[in-house]
Amino acid sequence: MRNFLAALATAALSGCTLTTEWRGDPGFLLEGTRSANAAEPSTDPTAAWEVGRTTLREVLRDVGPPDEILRRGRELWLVYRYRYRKARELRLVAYGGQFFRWYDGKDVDSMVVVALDPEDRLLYVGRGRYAGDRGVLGVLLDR
Amino acid sequence: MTTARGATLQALVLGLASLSGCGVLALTHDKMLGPVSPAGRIHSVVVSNDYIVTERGLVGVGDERDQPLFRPIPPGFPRRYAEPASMVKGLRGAMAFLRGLSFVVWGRTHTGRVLPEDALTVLRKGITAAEVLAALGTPSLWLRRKGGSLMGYRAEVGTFLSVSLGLPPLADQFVPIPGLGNIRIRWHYNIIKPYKTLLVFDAQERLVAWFRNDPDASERRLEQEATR
Repeated sequence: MRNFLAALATAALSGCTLTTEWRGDPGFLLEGTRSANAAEPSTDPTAAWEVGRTTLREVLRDVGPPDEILRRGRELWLVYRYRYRKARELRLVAYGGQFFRWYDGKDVDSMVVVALDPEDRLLYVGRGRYAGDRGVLGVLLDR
Repeated sequence: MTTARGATLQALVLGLASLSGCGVLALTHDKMLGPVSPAGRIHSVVVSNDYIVTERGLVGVGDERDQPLFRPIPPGFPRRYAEPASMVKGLRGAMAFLRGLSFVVWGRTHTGRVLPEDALTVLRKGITAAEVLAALGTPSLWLRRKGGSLMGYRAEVGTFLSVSLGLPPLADQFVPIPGLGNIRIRWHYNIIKPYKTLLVFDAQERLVAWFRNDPDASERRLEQEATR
């Protein structure tokens, strides 16, 4: 019986691939990560942001250094990016050909762009299409 | 008399134009006969070999492989394939092949230099950009703005671990048992963490603020959020 169960478990896992990948710092997606006092309840650091008022230093204080800094005309873009992939895959292959494949994966590619004017004041915030639902900057985007 | 001279001049100009490197005749000759022509490539002789004319103007041609007509082997074959860059590519290919055959692969990749904690102790408001450069080294980015400048340091550290149980990818092709290649369990883990430091200077190149991320804290926080 024990041998049978071992063989069954092996057969069930055969051809299985488990993958976990992530790249980037997800800090900009998390609420309250930049809270100066850990005892304070989590607050959305971008809730106080205002177009035309919030400065570059306030943005950096709230969401940290960006992954990229780009000049787009007169605008300065701070680009934050985080990619995450977790997948389970089952493939059955015989005679060099694949005749069954099952894939269950979660892919998150979150990107946030904070645009500033020449005076280093907030112009707008853009979020990538596949940004996570918990993106703190969504507060601004939904306005 | 004047008319005859004018006609001769026009014919001369037309003849020179047709024989010039960019003329239709010259380009047709180069395209059709190319390297086997006793005249050689007229366009290359006239315009030079290192440039071509595009809609964006003169563009340098640095790759000799762009001229492969009627050549038994690519030009500069021994030189190009023996240069160090080719060796590095070959080594990477060999490493990828060995990884595919290995049961356990663990490694780290580094891009850029992570600033050590003690180097950041020199940072304080008011120090100059020159002092920062002396303490931290060359930045990845230095961007001048209207009211000052931004100096950024960025590095990425990657960690990967792959565990594979079963026959290696190619070996199962040589064992005549159907489905043997299916008996394989593979677990792959790859994390690339960025370490970013951004310094803000005022118009007098004096440090006014600096910001640093902590990817490990973000990771812990993300795990807490996921289990909440």
